[in-house]
Amino acid sequence: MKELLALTAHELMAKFAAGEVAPEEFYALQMRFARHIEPKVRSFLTLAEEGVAPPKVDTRKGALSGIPVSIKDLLTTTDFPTTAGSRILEGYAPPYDATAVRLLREAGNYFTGKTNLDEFGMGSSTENSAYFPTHNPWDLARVPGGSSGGSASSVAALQSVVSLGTDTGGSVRQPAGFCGVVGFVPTYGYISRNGLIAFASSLDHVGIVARDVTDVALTMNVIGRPDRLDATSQAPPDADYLAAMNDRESVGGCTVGVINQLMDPNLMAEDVLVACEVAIRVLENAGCGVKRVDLAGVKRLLPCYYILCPAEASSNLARYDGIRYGTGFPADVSRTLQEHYLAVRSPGFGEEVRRRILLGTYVLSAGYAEAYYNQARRVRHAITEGIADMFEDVDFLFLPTSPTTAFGLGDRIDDPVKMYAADICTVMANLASTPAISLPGGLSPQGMPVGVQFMAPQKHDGRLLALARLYEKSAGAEYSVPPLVAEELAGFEE
Amino acid sequence: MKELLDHLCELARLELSDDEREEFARKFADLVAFVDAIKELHEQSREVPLQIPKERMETAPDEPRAEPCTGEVPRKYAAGHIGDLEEGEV
Repeated sequence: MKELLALTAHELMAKFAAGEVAPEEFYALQMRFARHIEPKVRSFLTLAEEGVAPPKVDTRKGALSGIPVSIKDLLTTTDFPTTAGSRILEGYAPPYDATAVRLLREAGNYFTGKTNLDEFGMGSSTENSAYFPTHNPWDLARVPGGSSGGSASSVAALQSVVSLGTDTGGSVRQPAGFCGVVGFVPTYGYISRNGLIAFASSLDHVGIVARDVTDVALTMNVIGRPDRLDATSQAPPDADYLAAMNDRESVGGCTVGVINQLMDPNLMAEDVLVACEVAIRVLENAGCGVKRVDLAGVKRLLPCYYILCPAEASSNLARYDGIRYGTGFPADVSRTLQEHYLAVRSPGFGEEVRRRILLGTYVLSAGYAEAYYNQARRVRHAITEGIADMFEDVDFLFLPTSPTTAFGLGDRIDDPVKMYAADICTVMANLASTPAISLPGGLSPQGMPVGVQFMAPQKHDGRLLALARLYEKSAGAEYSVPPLVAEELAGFEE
Repeated sequence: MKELLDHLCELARLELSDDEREEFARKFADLVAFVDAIKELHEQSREVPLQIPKERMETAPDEPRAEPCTGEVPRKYAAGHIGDLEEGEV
């Protein structure tokens, strides 16, 4: 039965429907294997308790019922603590579920636990977790990417079938690319942000990590819904993403634009470029037109992102004062307010979070806001317009997910600027609020996964999934179990 | 850089230990240089509603009150703008 662990959600649903395995039986198996491999990969900050009877699930509810899902620890949950990967929220028990979590719960999903992340989502390697780093299931000496590294590794290492992540500048797509799974971020507002612990609100998205595109579409059918608790929610109420994904005609004869500046050998590693050129040939063979396009000012993407993002973070994270919740609560009344703030915030935040708060404070401070923050907003506007102009000529954009494959643990942690460079291919979708998806694009000569990425215009999420499915099918880009995980599975006694 | 960091820490209610100050300042200087590239771009013509006004807005001066603070919120602030909660109106 352990072979079932490598199936996709829709394959499992078929097994459930045929009565070959019961959802609760599979969940128990899933949790046993998740615990078995956890000491190697360390995907979870909290794993569901062992020996606890699984909740009753009504598998007739459709969509994803009975499928085990892991949740990034940046989304609030009532049955697990929510730490955001930070000491300042250690042991915090939220009083409500994030809307995406609630919708999954109502649809009859099991939760395997809360996955590790860079503190508050700030990082590209999961090394900035205040607790421990996560390891890449393809090579334990390498990072899984970040900030949703625990989500991606949990899906790749057969610890959950689907995972909810969050993506502010590539935090779902980059780890998905590093771990050889699919990572999807929808149009801004298509999945409610209610219950997503805010990092940079205008860029934050809830995203999905899965083993194939069909599982992404199924998950979107559950959680891609309007929500009155999120003022920016704009999801169409009756969208059927599975039907849209299967609508082959919607992408018949489409044109895919390849961004020249992000296929530059000076920016991208050779193995990434080779995988991208193969992917482009797959698209051509599948009947897509391919057009090379220019995006002016690629070099402004990262400075723009790394001004807006810390600016919003410095404001959002001002709420962690130890007065209302988290570390320091209840307040020590023998201290002055200022003493209390310093005593809570300084040790409560890790180095990267403090760096971004200070950078955000700097770019917003009197005398600098015009030169940095206001200028970055103009640049963001120009980027959004530039991308919209490109979509006048092409239906989709193609680009790598990351300039390199997964790098070694510790390789970049002491060089923030080098770490930020890993985001060059992913921040664009967040700045322009467009949907994007990372798909497995084969393996490098070192045996590490390479991610390829597609972007679509705003609100064309269904068509993007149709193109992704077309690519997946044409390329034969099926999910493959990492060799280390396959070894662990072989030695696993049910 | 040290003075700038001290000022920012005060604004952000953070503290750096003596041990980490030097290394932190070095990395922070790298970041400031990194985002400085934004200044070289010519996007002045773009009409984007600015969220941070160019001119600093002064707030009204503090007006110390003669009467001592009781520690209780005046009723007009506590309930004046949120309706009659007893009636369930908000």
